[in-house]
Amino acid sequence: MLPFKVQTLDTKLVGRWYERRSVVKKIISLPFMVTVLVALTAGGIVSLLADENPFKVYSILFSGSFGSIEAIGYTLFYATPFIFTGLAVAIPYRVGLFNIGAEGQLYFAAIALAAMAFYFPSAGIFSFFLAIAAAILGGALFAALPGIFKAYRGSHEVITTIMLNFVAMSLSNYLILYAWKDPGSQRPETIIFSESTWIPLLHLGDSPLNYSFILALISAVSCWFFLEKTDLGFQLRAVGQNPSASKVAGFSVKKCIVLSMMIGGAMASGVAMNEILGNAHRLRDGFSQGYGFIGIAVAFLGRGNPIGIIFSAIFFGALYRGAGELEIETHRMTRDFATVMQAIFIAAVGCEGLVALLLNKLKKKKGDPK
Amino acid sequence: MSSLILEAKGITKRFGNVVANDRVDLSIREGEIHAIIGENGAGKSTLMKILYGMIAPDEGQLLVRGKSVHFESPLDALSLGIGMVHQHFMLVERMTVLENFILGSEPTINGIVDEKSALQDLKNLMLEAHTELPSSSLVKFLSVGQQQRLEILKLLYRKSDILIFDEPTGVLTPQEVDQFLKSLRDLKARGKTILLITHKLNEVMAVADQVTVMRAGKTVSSLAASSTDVKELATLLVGREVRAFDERKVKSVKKLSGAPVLKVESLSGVKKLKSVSFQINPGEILGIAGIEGNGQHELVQMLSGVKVHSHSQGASIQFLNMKIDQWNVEKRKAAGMACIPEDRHHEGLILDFNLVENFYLGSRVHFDIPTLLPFKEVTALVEKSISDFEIKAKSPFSKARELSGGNQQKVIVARELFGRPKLLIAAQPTRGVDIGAIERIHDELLKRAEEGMAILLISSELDEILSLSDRVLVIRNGEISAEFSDVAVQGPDLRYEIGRAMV
Ligand SMILES: Nc1ncnc2c1ncn2[C@@H]1O[C@H](COP(=O)(O)OP(=O)(O)OP(=O)(O)O)[C@@H](O)[C@H]1O
Ligand SMILES: [Mg+2]
Repeated sequence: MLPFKVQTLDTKLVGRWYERRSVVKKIISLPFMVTVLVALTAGGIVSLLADENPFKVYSILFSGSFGSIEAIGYTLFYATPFIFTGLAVAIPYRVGLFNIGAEGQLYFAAIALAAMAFYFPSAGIFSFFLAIAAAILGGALFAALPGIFKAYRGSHEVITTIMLNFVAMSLSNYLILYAWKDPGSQRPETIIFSESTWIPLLHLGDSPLNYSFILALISAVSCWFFLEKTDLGFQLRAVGQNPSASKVAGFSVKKCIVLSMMIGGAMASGVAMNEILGNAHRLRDGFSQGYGFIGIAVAFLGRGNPIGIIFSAIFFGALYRGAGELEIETHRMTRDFATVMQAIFIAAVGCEGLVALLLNKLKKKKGDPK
Repeated sequence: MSSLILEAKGITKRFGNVVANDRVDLSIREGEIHAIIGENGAGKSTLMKILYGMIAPDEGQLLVRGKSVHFESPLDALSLGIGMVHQHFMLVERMTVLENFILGSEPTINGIVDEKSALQDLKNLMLEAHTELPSSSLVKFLSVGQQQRLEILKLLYRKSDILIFDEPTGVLTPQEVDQFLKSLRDLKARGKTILLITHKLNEVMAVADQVTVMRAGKTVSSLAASSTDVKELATLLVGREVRAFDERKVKSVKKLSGAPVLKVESLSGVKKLKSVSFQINPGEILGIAGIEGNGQHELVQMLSGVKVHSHSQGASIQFLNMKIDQWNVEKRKAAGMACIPEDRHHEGLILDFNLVENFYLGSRVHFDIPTLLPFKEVTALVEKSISDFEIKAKSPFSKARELSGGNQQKVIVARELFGRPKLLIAAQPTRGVDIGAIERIHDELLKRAEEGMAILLISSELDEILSLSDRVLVIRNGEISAEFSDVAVQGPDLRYEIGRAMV
């Protein structure tokens, strides 16, 4: 008997494909699958505690999110902001920065966007592009701040982005409550913006899914292309992996830090487009339900890979949409179940390393019947 | 004759389609110093990692004290008294010497770390091993030699009696090397068994009892050190005769005319460097000798543009008659400078990038409009470098991490020579490289010098300096302490004088 297990796998896989394979494997690995399974089980236990059959809960979740054209429309509508904020977290993360400020950045982008729509309502198609440009610029510049603080003063981006979140949210509150408040409305919101600024619907059933979703897909693919295929993207990745070697190669670490934050902020601005120009057509209180923070989970579930983020965002979107159905179809579960599942998934993804470790132990035990 | 303490039989390990170890046999006797030598990529580190339980072999058997064993992890190896000091130390820089010393096997009383007894243990061991380390200082403030001694103490604390060293001397200064070799003899006297990987054959001859030679994943021979010599080992190692390290291959000295390639005037740095001036002519190899840590690193950084110097009085750097003081790295590279940095893992490569990406990293300025990555072109270049420099790599898309240390170095050398630079700053260009490849790299440097490339050679290896340089400057405490010209004529006689100027 050989004291070692014989590994013959992998020996025939050669060349480029062999290298590529590892990327796919990283995203859909065994530990990942097990993690998902554990999370689903935990969610099942929660529904048992609420006296509901977990299989019924999951089947409602599924049919509610993918069961009809309209359901799919809603799922993708909810997924749209998650793609944007997932990217807003992932791009700076590739440079080694932890952007907790996507929420503030999307609020600031919304303010910039609303300002244009509010003050230049009647410039036709021009107002539309003005609003979009203002949102992108607003998000990028607001994200540039913590980038600059980090690059030139060494202030930790986690602290500064969290603080700036409060700045942007408070500013938005002030504007909605006072300066821009619609006098005809009981709620804290602005007037409805001119129709020329609206982003057209995609007409999937009666869902609010609009062209912002297409923009989100394009953004994700562009981000992937930028990181993997362009020189500047290469610089960002290099700095994230090894700043000192990047310096020797002549890359400016400072530039890469600020740039990655600006791209992140520009991505966050997509949320403002989806929610304001695509759906509500006005800036209103609480238009983002913590999308910036959920983006962190989305980015991690998607492995920081822009394409992976599309899928993890759709998964989160399905959860949101499905949980809405739960509220209607069960007696004891509300849409808060989405939040519960989300929390479980964040915790589970955080434990994935542990799962991998345990799996390894298990595998070795099996291979060695002592 | 003492008994066999560790045996490997028919060990095979494959990485993809690379066979790193091919039915390797190895026998280690108790209480001996056993050297393992071989070319870059011969499979030495892989074999050691297998003996230490870090990686599992695909086939084969390990025997410790005659009993067949199967390691799940290094912990199993440690429990049988096998310990390893890696080339890149496994210390936590932000923790103290004492904390690192006990990390993972802390003595406890009711679950609370017993610092007192830990400190006592450390002190006892330091006394036994004749070393002295500041127990409460952070590891990041220790010199490389001190860190290595801490690694050895850690192993002793864990009661290891088989100690594995993977290229321990590569990063040490000559003084530290002497001290290290002495401590190896000490350990042997205390009954420890030692496995030593090194590329320096004189170290082998100085301490080893037995030598095993590996080539292309196989053990080709194992002989008693007393019955062999450097020349024979070198031949066994490479499979052909090589020129001894200190033998000088004469560069055909064509006096190349023209303005100096580099002219440095009273250059001072913020850390060490104090008012350094020198110049290099086309085709000249200027050696900078000196004990590591005397300002060499800062000099390289300021010349390559990683650090732009502050405006000190009268300081200037002129490259091909251009004042480049304020130029950034890119601009300097584009103008014809190239640099082999001294620390390949930290400064030269991105380990998780593949070879194509790593090649592009350093040669970027030589491609036209780098908005899109020209990876097709670079891939062809990497393939060419792989064959030109005999780099052992699975494919151009292998991660740099997957290459053996010496092969990583060859990637950097190939990359930096690619743009046909007019000046090459070469810091420790052959560190961790096997003797055959050293010859290969040296030949290439000499050839380029004959074609007119100027080389600033910074090396802590006096042999390397003496065998390549036309002129030698000695750097000490950030200042040029001596200059020797006509090295080619005086050759080895200078060794003593240069050595004296270094301390
Ligand atoms: N993790 C890995 N993945 C793929 N290939 C690897 C890996 N580790 C080592 N190899 C390959 O196995 C071979 C042996 O490598 P090893 O590190 O043992 O060489 P070495 O003798 O220590 O060389 P050096 O003197 O340069 O350190 C090399 O060809 C290397 O590319
Ligand atoms: Mg090695």
